[in-house]
Amino acid sequence: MFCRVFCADILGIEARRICVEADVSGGLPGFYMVGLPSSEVKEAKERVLRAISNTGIDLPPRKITINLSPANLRKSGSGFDLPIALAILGAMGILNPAHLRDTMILGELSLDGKINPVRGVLPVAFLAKEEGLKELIVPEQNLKEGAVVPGIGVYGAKDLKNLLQRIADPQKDYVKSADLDHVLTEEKDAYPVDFGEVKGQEVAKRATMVAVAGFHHLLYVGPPGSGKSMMAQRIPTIQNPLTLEECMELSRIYSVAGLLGEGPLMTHRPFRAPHHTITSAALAGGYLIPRPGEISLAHKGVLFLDEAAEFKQETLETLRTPLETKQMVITRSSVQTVFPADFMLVMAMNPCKCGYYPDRNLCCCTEADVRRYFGKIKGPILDRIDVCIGTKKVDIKDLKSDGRPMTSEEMRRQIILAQKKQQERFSGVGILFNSQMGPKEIKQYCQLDREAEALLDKAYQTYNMTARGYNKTLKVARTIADLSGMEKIQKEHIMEALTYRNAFVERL
Amino acid sequence: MMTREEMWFGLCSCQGIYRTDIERILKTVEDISNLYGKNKNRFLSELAEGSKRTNGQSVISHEQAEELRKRTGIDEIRRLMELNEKRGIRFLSRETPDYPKRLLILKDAPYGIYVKGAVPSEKPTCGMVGARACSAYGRSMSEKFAAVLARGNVQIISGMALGIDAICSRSALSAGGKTFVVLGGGVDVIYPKENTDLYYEILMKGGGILSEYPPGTPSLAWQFPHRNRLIAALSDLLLVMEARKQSGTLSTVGYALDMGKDVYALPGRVTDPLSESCNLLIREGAGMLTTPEEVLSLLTGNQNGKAAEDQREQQVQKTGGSDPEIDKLYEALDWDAKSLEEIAQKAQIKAERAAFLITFFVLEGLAKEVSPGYYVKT
Repeated sequence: MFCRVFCADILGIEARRICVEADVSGGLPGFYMVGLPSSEVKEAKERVLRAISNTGIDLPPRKITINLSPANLRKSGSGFDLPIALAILGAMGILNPAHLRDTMILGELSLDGKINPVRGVLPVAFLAKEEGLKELIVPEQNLKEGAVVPGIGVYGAKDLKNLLQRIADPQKDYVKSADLDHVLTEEKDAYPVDFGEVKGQEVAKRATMVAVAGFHHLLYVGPPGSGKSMMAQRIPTIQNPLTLEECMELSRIYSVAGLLGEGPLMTHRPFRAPHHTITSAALAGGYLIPRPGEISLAHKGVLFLDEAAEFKQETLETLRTPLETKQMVITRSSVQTVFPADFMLVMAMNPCKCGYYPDRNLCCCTEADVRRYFGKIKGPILDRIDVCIGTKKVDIKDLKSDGRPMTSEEMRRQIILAQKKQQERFSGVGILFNSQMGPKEIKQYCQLDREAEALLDKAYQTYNMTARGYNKTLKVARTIADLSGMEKIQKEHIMEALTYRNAFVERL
Repeated sequence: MMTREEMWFGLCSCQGIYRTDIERILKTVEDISNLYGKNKNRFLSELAEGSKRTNGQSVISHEQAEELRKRTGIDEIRRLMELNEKRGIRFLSRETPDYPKRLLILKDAPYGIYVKGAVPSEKPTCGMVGARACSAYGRSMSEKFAAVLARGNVQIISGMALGIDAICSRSALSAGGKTFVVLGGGVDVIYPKENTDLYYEILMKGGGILSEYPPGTPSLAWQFPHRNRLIAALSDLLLVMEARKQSGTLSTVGYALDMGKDVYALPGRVTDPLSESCNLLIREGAGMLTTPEEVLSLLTGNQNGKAAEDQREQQVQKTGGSDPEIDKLYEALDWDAKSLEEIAQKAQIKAERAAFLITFFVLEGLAKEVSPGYYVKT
């Protein structure tokens, strides 16, 4: 007897349909699995057989052959247990294979027949929909995640016994799929932090606002305790809300990484702050079966590198390509995996080894020490940082001051307006933000009046700027002009952009 | 026949034979020409083995004697001299007319010095020394003093160390003046290497690099205090810009005082560790630096130094036009590094206004960014 069920495998953040075929025949009893299973899939044998028998079903001693097709792709993951079990039961005639014809099945089995959660349910649900299947069986804990996709019946299976009863039951009811129109608006304002809590850092907050408005990558330089991490953490609160499309893409990444948690979707922009001891593979994504790295988990949000100077050189280097292409391509023998990685890079570093330069009461670093410390972040990464701002140690006066600091809400409002202007300007150009302008766009959209031009020329000479620095200043000035609602870049905008240039770090 | 200049060169170019060794050698051989005459070998063995003249004690080790034998050969001397000439290095013995007269004041003046570039002229000189890890205050004051003095034709003497030393030399050069540095190694050994550009700029702009150690001598720590005595001797006046407690700079001060030279120190706040030695020096009677013009008139007797502060004020007014915030922001700036945040708070200016107004000052050269987001007056 023969039975075929559908299942899926994850590649990157996409799912691929896999057919699980089971054949039960005479001959020497045994269990054979073909179709390039990886070791965790091979181990399914023991789990499947024990789970079936512990559910109270006696398997007669027959020759069982399992084939996973297409046979030329390597299959990995623990989600194959359940489809294999059902295919065997179908082939044995214990359940009716016709009931599983339009069903995609995913789940890991315990020895006692319980069904455990798996990663990557969301992309699989999307795949099932695309493939025109009618039903999706997932582990109960993954039910919410699977139910996001409308137009397909999703059932959350608790254990094998219940599942078998349900399959035989002709009256099927499914959970209601999530209300996608409201899932974003409901949770929009649920950030636990706010920029209003950051006191005495108005200049740095202003720079942060400029950076976010134009999607410029950002570098904070300041002594310990100057609120660098605190501000970085609050950046998602002033970014514009996720669109449904972005939310889905982000949720897929988190689903594959197994980090989706309770909510069925990622409704907030992520904030990822990996420790500086992180390896390149963990940062960029990788391992034998490619998994999303921190840069992909920070997709559409903030990747914060605290103590940026302490990161290993090669680790930082891996950021170069993703910063350019907004995705991470990982190649493993025959397969290429693509993870999206469109993040805002925010770095923080001390001004020197001890952290207190230029306060000579506390810092004894020589100029050479200071230079060496800055030199740890190499040109290629610095080149991509448009906004650099020094932060100061917050003193008690600031904490107690009753001045009203800018809140996230105010900042976000201005940022959204400035971004709207950019989107209008760039519609049809193929970019979204000022930071993405190339030389052609800069020429077209960053025209200066005579006064502003003279000032920038002067700065070019005074600061001994590079052509790249010149363009960066123009891009940031464009964003500042957008923030103040001006069509033309004014002198003040150029001057403010010059304040944020990181030429200082470059020069050292 | 060998000239006396060549004889001195041979004696001074021995590796591992230092000034004190030379002093003892000369005491034994009485005149340098004896080292090169018929009795050369006898003298050499006497120096190494000891003799009646030396009270039976050996004056130098066998290795040193061997080195001396090698270096006192005429061919070796001419070869080395030619090599030095190619590298633009001159050797001046005490008997050379070019030998800086100011050095002769030293009891232990070097028997010969090596020079790349020029030697300080008879015109006034001023030594400027201080901490390597200096503060923004020390930096800007050093720049200011060195520039005014250099413009007033005072030659700036320093040690080309990191921090204050290099800042003074650089500032003197960019003000169009001359600067001379005394190194703690050979004149062709650029130390510290961070100042390579300065080294060549000094030479290009008519200054000089001096050292009592033969070319190729590495810069060893113990040589620096000895180097400091030359800085003190070459300077008519010594300015201490910044120094911590127990700073190496104090050795230069000690030498200058021994020679009866005037020492001036830049006062600082009593809480600043980098001003600690300066303030102590002032308490102990050193002069107190207030304006560079004052120092200039001390050295040259000329009162030409205009009150630079007034000029600054005018420039600020010119730059800012009638904007009162510009004035307020300038008042909030300090000689000490302050973050833009503090400056904005003190001036009570909104962050986004401060963020662009500060660029005014930087572009006009009235302020400087010393670390990201930290500014000082210039």
